[in-house]
Amino acid sequence: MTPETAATTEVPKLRVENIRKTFFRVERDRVTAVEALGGVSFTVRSGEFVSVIGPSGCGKSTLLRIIDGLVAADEGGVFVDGKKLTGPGHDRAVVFQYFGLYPWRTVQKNVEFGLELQGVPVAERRERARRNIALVGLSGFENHYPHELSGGMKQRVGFARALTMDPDIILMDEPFSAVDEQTRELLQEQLLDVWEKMGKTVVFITHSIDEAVFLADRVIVMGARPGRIVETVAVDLPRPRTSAHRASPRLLEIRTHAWETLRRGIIEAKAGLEGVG
Amino acid sequence: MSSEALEAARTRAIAQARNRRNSKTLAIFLTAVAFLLAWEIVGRLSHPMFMAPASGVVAEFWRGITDPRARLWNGFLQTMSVLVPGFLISCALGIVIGVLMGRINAVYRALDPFVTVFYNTPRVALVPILMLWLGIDNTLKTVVVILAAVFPIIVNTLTGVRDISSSLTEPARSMGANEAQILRLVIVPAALPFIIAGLKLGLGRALTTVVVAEYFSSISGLGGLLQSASTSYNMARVFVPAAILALMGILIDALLGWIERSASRRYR
Repeated sequence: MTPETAATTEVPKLRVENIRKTFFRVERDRVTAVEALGGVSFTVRSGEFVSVIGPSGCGKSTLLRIIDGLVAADEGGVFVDGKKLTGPGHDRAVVFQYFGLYPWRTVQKNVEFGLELQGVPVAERRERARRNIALVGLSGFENHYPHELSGGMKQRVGFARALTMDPDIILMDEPFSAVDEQTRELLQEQLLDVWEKMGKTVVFITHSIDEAVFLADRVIVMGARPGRIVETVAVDLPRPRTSAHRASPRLLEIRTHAWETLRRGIIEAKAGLEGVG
Repeated sequence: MSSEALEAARTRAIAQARNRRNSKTLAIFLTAVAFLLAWEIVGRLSHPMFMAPASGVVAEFWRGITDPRARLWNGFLQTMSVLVPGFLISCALGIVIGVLMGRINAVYRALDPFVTVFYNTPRVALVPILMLWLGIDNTLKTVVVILAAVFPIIVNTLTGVRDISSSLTEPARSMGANEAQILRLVIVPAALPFIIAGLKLGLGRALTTVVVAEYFSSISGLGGLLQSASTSYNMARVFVPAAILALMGILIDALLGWIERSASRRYR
């Protein structure tokens, strides 16, 4: 992992610069504009784990799609290792909220999919997929279809698929919001475990403050209308983190601070709306 | 639960399933016997110009496949020589046009009015016009079969492709898939159940239409045999091609049903 001192001088792994995005809805002759992102900038160091939280409608999912290249920004740019991006690339992989698995493909074939698109030879992609399936603890389920798996297992397949692409940056879009509470905590701990081993850079979108604080080195708190960064909260908890840290006083302190920041953002957004209305 | 109790419950479940299967088979067998018996009685009581008994149809069928002069085998091959190429061309055209219409809005807007009109026009109404243009040979019949079969295939493929949500295309795009890869690896497999349902509909229509076209031109195929037998009031001989067509329909439907099930097993 990068030492704190060197971080300030080197080129950041990911740099998001003044991203703006407005969506227009045209109904007959009425045009409604929704400013999803009103100038968002931040950087992420190599190997850093950053969470992004915010109220629904603050544009955090749009932000993730812009970083991945699925959606084009109106203004601003995304830079990886200082190079400006123009679309999706093998240096980034997404873990989707809705899993995004292909129902007609087995676990093995789903995990291989990205490599198949790149034209990686069969033997190599089979081996790489198998290794990552084992890493997320799904060995023995290679030939199962997604409908035979629980929500938590599906998302582990989604995570294994992202890892198999061997990206520098993993973008996670509320990956655990569709699974039950107990499974979510286990998945969080498993994610941290894999992250400690692999040293990937992670941008993790969530609407759960507890999840954001427990996982991340820094929590970016966003506000809505337009989506913008209200504050960035550093999480100075030791690593590796285990379930024991969930109840630590320091975590609760940070959580309270993050929650107040988030609430301020929501109240400001409401006031702004009333001002407009 | 003790292992004996478990074993007994298992035996009961198997026996119940077997009973359900057996009673279903029995019901089918009994209704079939009743139907044939009724047919035989009505056939024997009727004037031979209007109705033939079941036994007469079986005898005629036997004569048809053993006596080369009956032209039954020949008629079957003639019908197949129109049906098979006509249907295969319909599959290729229907899937390609359906996918293009589903993926490209300009193509959809350009072709949709024509597809709607043709989808709802009875193809039989076009046969006399097409006979005038194309004559009465296999070209006519093949074109009529294509006109009958291609539209349900287009409409179903189109519906299947338009139905695909971005939650299937987005991951592929994120992983760097190009448009051709998305088409081959996401769109076609995702729309496959719709496409197969369209093929089933199209095949049914193709089968009906080839017989109608043969009936109109009255010189070839099972439809031609049907027409010449009915104009000579040979009722037993009318039933033979009709029975073959019914059997073909059932067989083809079963085949496509099997393909549909083995494909849809993966889509739950």
